Amino acid sequence: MHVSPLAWIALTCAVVAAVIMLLYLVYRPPLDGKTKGFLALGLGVLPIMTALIGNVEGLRATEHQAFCGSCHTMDFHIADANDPDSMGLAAIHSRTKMFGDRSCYVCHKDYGMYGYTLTKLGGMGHVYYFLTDYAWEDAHESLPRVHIARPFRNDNCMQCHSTSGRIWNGVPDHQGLLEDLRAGQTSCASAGCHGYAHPFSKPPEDETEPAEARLDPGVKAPEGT
Amino acid sequence: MNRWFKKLLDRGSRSRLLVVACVLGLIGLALMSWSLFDQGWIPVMMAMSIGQVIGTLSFGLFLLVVIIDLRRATFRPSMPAQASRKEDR
Repeated sequence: MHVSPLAWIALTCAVVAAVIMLLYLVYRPPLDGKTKGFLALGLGVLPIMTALIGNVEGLRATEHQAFCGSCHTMDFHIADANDPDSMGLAAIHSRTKMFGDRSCYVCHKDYGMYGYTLTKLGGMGHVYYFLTDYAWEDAHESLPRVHIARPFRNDNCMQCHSTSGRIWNGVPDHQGLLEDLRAGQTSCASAGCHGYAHPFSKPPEDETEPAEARLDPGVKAPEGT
Repeated sequence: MNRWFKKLLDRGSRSRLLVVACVLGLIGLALMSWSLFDQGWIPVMMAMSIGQVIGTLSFGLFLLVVIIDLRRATFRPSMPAQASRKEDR
């Protein structure tokens, strides 16, 4: 358990506020200006500080694997991401410092203008599905049903892999599919290309089939993919 | 609702309201502090929703006590009434 310096400040505010409230409850002093001043601190200023810092810390916590993994439905995904022997995309990326213990968030967040808010709203959707459905099953039962809400966007991959580098463009498949990849017509994380991010969660036939995870089902896969 | 609130403002017990405010405040603070140590989804969501609602309610009750106090206070004018002038007599 790591508690940040900011969290210690919040905790100090909470403790002081709690002491003020407990003193009032125990001694019940007359309600003069001095008592009201202390109560304004204990019931207003200090708890508001705790809440504000708690929000910052709470939102920061939502970016860590520990938060995503606190739902049992994600047990296998987290275990695979942290497996040093796994060659899934999630595991390969989680081994790098930039992703590390924030790998779920770095890959799955929305990078658009309102990305932070949209990502949090998506997270609330996960909470809803968890409470209304998945919470009552064990991880083995829910594994075949867990799926991404919408196909994984290549835009997220392109935050790091710009698709403009010489080495990247030197790969023949990348060259042939450049426009499709940039437009999101062909998914980087598909069985025919780099494989699924969490391959253990797919049925065996999906792993070998050169399937295309297409965003637009109406568009056919280019040959050779 | 309006009548109930007016009755509360006129005859509500300030010390009882403050006791409720303090108890709620302690519960809210406990929920908010829990998330600082355990950053799973339950503590974090409890802190950012129920914890803050309870904390806000507690602060609201304190403000209500302040309003009740102000309504019951008798204010003395800060300036004495101007003495009547001679020519007015």
